[in-house]
Amino acid sequence: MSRVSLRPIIGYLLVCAAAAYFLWGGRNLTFGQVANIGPGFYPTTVAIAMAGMAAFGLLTEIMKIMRGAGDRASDDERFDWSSLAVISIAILVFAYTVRWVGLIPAVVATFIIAALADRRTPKRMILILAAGLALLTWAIFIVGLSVSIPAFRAPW
Amino acid sequence: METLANLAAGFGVAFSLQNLIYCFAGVTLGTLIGVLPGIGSLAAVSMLLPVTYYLEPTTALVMLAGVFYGAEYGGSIASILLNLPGTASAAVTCLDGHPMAKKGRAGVALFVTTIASFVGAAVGIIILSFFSPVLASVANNFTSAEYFAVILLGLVGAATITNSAPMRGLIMVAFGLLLGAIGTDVNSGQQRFTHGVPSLFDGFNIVVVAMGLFGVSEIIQSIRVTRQRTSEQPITLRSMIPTRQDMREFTAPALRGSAIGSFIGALPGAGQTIAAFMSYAMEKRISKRPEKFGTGAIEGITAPESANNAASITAFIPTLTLGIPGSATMALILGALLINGITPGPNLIPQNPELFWGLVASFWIGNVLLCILNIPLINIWVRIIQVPYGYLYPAIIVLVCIGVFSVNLNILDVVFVMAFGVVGYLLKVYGFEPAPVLLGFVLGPMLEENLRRALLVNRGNFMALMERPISGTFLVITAILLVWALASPILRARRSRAS
Repeated sequence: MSRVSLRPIIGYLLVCAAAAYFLWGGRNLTFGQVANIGPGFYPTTVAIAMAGMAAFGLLTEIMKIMRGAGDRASDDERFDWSSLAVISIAILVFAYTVRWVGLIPAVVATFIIAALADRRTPKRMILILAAGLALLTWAIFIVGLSVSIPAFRAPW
Repeated sequence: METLANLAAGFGVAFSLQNLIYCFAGVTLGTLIGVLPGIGSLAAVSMLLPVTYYLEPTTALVMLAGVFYGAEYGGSIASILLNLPGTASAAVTCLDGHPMAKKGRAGVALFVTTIASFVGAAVGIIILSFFSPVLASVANNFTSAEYFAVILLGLVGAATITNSAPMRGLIMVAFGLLLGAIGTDVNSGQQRFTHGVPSLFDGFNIVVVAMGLFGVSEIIQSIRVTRQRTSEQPITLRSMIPTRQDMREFTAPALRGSAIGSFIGALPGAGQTIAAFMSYAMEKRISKRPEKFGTGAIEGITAPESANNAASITAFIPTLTLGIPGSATMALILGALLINGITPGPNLIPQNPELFWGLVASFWIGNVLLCILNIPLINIWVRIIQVPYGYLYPAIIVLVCIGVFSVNLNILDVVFVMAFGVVGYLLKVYGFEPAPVLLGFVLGPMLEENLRRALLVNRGNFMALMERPISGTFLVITAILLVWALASPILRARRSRAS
């Protein structure tokens, strides 16, 4: 016997949280009159609509589970935390190294980290491709488009 | 006759060396993206947005459009050979295309889908050329009330019609509208939701939102899912020649598919996927032998391929003449124009004829190029399908990073792209489609501004908007869609209880 899937409920709760954030963040904005709406009118109206729909969706999902008609949790529900984390780290590494060491080292580091998310890729292949991409980046962005990012930079 | 003269002038623009090169680059990249399952044209267009900062508006548009309709050609290759749709709208092509490949008729299937795609695109271009100026002259009389109503209908339509869960689509539109409200309010100068971060004073950059929600999140999602590719035999030109029987079964479905696709593509919110599915359903219904569908019927690949290509062209009609995109990809095209200081709307064709007619001419050139890419050069794509995804996606991540960073040389933009990637992945995991978010994000500021103006002119009387014939009609349709969307979870619950 498999468990009931809580995924729809968590989804609607996250959406409610997002709507609540916009309601809270817009609490000090002027609402204005209908004939002359202030900066707070539109975001507050939209956020209320969003929260209302999410609450309605949440209610229908809860009722479904209480009736015993909730979807069953299945295997493909498994969250790919590791890919999410590895890709996020790869992008952050780019963000915080590109100014510090220059474009080419940042590209190589980002590529290698991102490639690690798929464990089937042979490690030697990753290094070869990283070198190829570094060359391509240099040719396209530094020589071709002459973007104003230094290719290499000494970190000290 | 005037249209032909304009078109001739357009060819003058499109045949400039620069536009030709970017048209070729666009359709080639589009085919590549279409061939590779795991990245759609939406992700591809968003990744190319930064390049448009460096280009003339016409050139930028020619290239982005090429990526968009090129992907429709490429999508069918993966559908036929691998039974994996390269793009969402090519999913229908799997139904009869892959059975044909299994029977050893992959060559014929590839040839027929290419020709069907070309027929669809040609019909779409002709309709675009004649219909756009007419629609633009009607839209000249639009006031803020009509604009508000049309934008609202576009948003609600896009969220509800395409989506299997309409209310979830509406929630995503609302989320996008709120993201679009971040930044300085244009009327009062007040900061909204910026927390004093200077990078946010102009709101999020569309490049950041699009690349995060579509590029990064799609990659995270497909790393585990994508299988290792099998090896495919090269396709010989001889194997592509259709039989006489094939050709007889080709013409009528191609024309019917083009007609359905052209109509659906111009509607807000529908788009290529719906066009392809509808034309497949129609062919099956009117066929004398519906049982052969699913086993490799020529009609089953001809009609949907004509339809999705026709739709990919007519989707430009509302985007260019009203300034209202019907889908997320069109919202990006609109964004590319705005980046270049061009506001699409009824004045676009009179004020920038070289842009509009140059684009139309580039459609003809691009589609001819696509026929060459997809028939004599087919084996390039057959080989590319076999490149493992593990080699490709890290390079795409790197391109996303460079692209976003190069726009403003702002490190925070790269961090935001990561954040939007995580948000997009979470949305997908919890069953929310991120595409309507982008549509809301782009249209939100226009929606608010037109609402404010319409209410100001009518002294706060919202009913006055209902009394104008055009805006009233649009608002009533919107209301019907809203009721249907909100009722659908209840109806579904009933149905599941009954079964």
